[in-house]
Amino acid sequence: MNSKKMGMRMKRIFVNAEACTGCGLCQLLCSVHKTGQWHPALARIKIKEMPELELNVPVLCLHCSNPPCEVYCVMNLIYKDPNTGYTLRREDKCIGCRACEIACPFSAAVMDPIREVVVNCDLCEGDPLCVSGCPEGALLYMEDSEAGERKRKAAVSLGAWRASRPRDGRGSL
Amino acid sequence: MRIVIVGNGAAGNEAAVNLRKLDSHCEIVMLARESYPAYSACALPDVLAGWIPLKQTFLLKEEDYARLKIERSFGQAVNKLDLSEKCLQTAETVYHYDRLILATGSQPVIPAVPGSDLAGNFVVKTPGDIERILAHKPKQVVVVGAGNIGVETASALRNRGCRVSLVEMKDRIMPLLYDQKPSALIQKILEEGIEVLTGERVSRISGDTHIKVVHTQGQDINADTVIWAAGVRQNTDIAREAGLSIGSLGGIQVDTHMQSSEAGVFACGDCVESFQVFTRKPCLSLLWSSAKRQAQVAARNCLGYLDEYEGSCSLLIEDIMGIPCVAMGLNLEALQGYEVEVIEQQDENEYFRILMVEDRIVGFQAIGKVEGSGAIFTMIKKGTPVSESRKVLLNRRLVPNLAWYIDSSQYLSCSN
Ligand SMILES: Cc1cc2nc3c(=O)[nH]c(=O)nc-3n(C[C@H](O)[C@H](O)[C@H](O)COP(=O)(O)OP(=O)(O)OC[C@H]3O[C@@H](n4cnc5c(N)ncnc54)[C@H](O)[C@@H]3O)c2cc1C
Repeated sequence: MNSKKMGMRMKRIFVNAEACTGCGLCQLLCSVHKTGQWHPALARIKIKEMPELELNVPVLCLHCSNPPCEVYCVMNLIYKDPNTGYTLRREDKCIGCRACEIACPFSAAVMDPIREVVVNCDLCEGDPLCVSGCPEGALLYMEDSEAGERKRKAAVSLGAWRASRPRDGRGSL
Repeated sequence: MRIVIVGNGAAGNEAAVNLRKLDSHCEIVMLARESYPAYSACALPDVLAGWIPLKQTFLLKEEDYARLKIERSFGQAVNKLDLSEKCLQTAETVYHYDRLILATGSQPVIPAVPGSDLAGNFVVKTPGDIERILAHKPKQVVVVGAGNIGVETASALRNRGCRVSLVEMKDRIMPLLYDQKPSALIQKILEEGIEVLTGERVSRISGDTHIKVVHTQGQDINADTVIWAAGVRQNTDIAREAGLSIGSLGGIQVDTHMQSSEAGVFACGDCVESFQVFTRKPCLSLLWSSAKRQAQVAARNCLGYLDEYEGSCSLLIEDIMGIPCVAMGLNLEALQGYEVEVIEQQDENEYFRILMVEDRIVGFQAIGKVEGSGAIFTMIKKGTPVSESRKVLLNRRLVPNLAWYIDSSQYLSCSN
């Protein structure tokens, strides 16, 4: 393991739904990066639209600590990376049964219909394109502690949260 | 500490892996009747269908056992458990243990009907069964029992080009999973390629050395192969003879820590009697996921870490002729005695029904579309009140933090 990998331990993608406009760029970037095809249905990030609330909520694998997908996988191919805590899978073993998808509260595991295997967000080796490509800064890639800090501040004032997000059109922190 | 695990199925292997995760020093010994390394029984129908090679069903390699420092003695049955001496006996050896995990699983039952001993009778449980079935070159097959294993096996052999009849004693297919209506819809899809006979019981199989005709009360079906998927029996002999408590349904009795009636002896998987998450009544779960979760609990408690089993909640997803079907939680039959509200919706391509008791979702069955049903499954498992989900989904501030509720709205919005 190289030092760069060590340095990004436990970083995860956090969502600021308030900022999401539902443009779908994250999905296109994800799908083209992961499958070579340009289609939101192939993305590992979904946008749940809630028009009544004027809200778009990006949803993707949360890398839970006791993931139900792991238990419900009949091929035992889902595992927690001992170093990063990420929920990863040995995709070559997958039989495409979709039990993991349904065991997930978010259905954040998605079928890759081209390879007929189910996949989840793997945080792109530490450089998630959805995050860097989001023009609104609705996706944040950071450590748990940092996110907790931001959330506490956000609870005090939503305005403060908004002001804190980068203005250069790129979500990088 | 020396921990012995009996059984090399989903439960035994999950227990072993979890023990090693928590304790790098303890001695782990696995004993099993069969000599295969860990494999997934659930993937065997896919091999029959020709979708995946048999080797893909194996889950652990020799190196993995070595890396995990798991000592194995496969290919010999345990004949006796002696609780006072803390030891197990096989034909050749005596194994002492400090703690014991029984994960002896279950075995398919072949009822004693005349002719069930002829060549051409099979079950689907181990890689060896699949090899034997394929070597037999089946052409005309009768699958007995239309539970999920029977249905998957029938579809698989149909995919191989066999002519298949599926015989079910009850009035509908997958009677433990689906209610009348969705079961009938699935049957219709199956009937595009398979003959389905419900309310029929195989009474006799005739032939000389090989199978020729399968007889039910109403039918004589020409066949060269019979596959028995008519239920399983728990492997509890050694536990019973040792004096461990056996439950009313025939499984080894355990508490929520997966400990049997004897301290230091744990049990998990198909061989135990656990409880259903909603009714809290005893049940035989017979699912891969329950076996794994119970094994985690057994392993943790075995090493002194507290963990409690939260109850079994079934989830079975089936690909029926290319159409996804899912059944989760309980069906109406299992909910007898409760006042159940049924919400259903159907159009040309999709069907679903939700079973509710008071404010809780307790069952869900869907055909054609399974997307987003993870939210429903989570509500069933957690017992989330539907009213709470509705409240959250109307609250702009709560939704982003409880985003998993969102998918439930597509199923719940159709009710009041
Ligand atoms: C064809 C098929 C399809 C299935 N599909 C699904 C599915 O889609 N989803 C799902 O959730 N579940 C499915 N199941 C059920 C699932 O596979 C089982 O619930 C699970 O395998 C149970 O695991 P287990 O470890 O408890 O028992 P088993 O797999 O039965 O393992 C028992 C082990 O104990 C050993 N053993 C028993 N007695 C002795 C003894 N006296 N001495 C030594 N060793 C002994 C056996 O050799 C074996 O290694 C399917 C099952 C089958 C057969």
